[in-house]
Amino acid sequence: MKIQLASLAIAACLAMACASSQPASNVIKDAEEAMLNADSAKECAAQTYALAQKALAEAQEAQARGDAETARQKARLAQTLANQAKDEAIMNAEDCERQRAAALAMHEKLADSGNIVDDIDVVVRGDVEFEIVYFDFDESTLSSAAVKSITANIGILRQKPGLAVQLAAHTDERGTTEYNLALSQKRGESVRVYMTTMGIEPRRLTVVPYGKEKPVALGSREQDHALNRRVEFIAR
Amino acid sequence: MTSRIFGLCLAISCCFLPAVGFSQTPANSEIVVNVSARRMALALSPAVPRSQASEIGAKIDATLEHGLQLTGLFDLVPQGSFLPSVRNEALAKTDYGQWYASGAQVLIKAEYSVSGTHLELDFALYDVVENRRITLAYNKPAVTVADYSKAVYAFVNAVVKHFTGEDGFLGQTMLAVARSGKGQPSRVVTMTTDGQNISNVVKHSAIQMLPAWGPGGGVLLTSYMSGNPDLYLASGGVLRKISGEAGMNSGADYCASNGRIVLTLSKDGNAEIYSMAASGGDLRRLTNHASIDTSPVWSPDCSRIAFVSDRGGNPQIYVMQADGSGVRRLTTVGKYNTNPSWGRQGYIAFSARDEDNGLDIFVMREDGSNLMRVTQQQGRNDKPAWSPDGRYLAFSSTRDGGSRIYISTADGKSQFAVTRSGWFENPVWAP
Repeated sequence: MKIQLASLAIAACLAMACASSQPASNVIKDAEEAMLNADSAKECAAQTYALAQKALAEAQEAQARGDAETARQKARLAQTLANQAKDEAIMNAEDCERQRAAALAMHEKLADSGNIVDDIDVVVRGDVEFEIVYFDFDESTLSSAAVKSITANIGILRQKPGLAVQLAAHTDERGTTEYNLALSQKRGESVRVYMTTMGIEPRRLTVVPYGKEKPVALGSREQDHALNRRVEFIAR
Repeated sequence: MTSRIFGLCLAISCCFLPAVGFSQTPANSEIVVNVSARRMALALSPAVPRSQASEIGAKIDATLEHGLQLTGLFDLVPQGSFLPSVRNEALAKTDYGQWYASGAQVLIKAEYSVSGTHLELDFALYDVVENRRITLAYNKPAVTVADYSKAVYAFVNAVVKHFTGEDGFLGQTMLAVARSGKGQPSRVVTMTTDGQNISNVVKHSAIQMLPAWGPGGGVLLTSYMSGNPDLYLASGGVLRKISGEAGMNSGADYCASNGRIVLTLSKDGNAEIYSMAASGGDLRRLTNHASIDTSPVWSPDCSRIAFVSDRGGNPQIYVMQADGSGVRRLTTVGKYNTNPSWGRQGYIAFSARDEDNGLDIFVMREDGSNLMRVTQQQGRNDKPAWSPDGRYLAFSSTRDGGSRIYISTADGKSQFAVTRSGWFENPVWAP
């Protein structure tokens, strides 16, 4: 879903012109309410929701320093963006539900292995959140959980046709340096091939093998190894 | 009497070759170590000050002892066994009978004097069986107190030359990978064989790995300086990218006689082995298989290449001709055999992973026969590298906590750490 920033700006200006005399605190309150209503759009219209959050924060800052006019402008913009995010989320519902299901599956997989690490199972670059694709020991083939994660990430790439990603591929610490480098290459390649099969243009995908050089978990327990056997999607 | 010592020395020299003293029991695929190496009993008398005693005396003793241990030639006679009459004996007079009675076959003594920063250091080697001082042919370096180890190593290398006919390795420069700790970013360093004089090869802080000596004394290494594991040559203060294909450009091994590098590239999606000119051109693909092919190393005469492939279902050591033809599997025991190093004596050393996911060092003949174990369940032992003469191995081991560089005789009988702190892996001997 593309964001129509130009039309949003126009809508916000019109709204501000109509209501410039309203107290800034009331306008901020309206924006906060719109944000609450759009809460469910946090994941499914992440980019617009984040813009709304930013505008609301700026409105609150302006209010705090006594700049009522700026506070009103920013609050109106926040309200408009929040409403837009809510609309986007409804229109994206199908893709969004698939992403939620894949995220839930990965969460359950980690829960089964005793590793509920909410902060680690996604990679955040700017406003894009990709799921991490995990692998079994010594394996480069895609498990059903891995396919679900890749599918979720494909959904993001379809929403952002201009976005290219690096597939940063890793292994756990067991084994030797160069063989692990080759194994991580193979994992990255498995992800890349699957994505191109699903219609993602090859030029948007670059595999960078890291072997065991960049672990996210430094321990030597099985749960540490499981977290390290991964391919991360990094927006470029 | 001369023949007694000489005969012993030949036996010890043979024991460096891993052909002696190991056997494999096929019934349970267990590798059995059956080493019967005989080493010379060496009495190492503490360095005697010619005038005023100095703390350098203890340093000389420690460095000399460590250096002699690394050679694997000697069993040190405990100083507690020295008879009282020969303790602190000077060079000029030697009571051979008393030393023999102390259990020594060979004796080393040292005398030193300090004048400002200058250190005058003299060593002497004695054949206690033959009752004579052995004259060593070597140039004694002039040293300061600060670089006393140069004088110690020059002497130990001369002792090795005398007994084996081969040059000693002490004081040579090695390459290694260093980290601040487990899982931390790696960098390529040079160090002397005593684990001292550690220096970064390149200033860049990006991940660096898999170093090798390149043309003109340069250092080949793989680094992520440009965001991808590319191959670089650091030479004469200049860093040049030799190969920057997409994916792996790693594990280069340089052959001086044909001027070519073998390495792993994954530019077509899968790890394959290529050779290329040392300058970076004339790329030739040597493997073409859907499985992983990686870690190529030249045979000493550069006519063949040993490498790792998982085409049989798990990683094993294979060998092929320099043009990629005649591929043959060498390892058949175990499910994870990687990191081959091909020594001048015709043996290939490699890292093997067992069921506990530990790593150990093994050695086999270059035809895959006569498999022998060098380390056994002493932490994680990885990335063996033969010394230039093919008689010693360097590798990393975590047996004492952190990862340290060890030097071992080829039979594994004598193994000593050369780094004492820090985290080091992937040693590479001087070419």
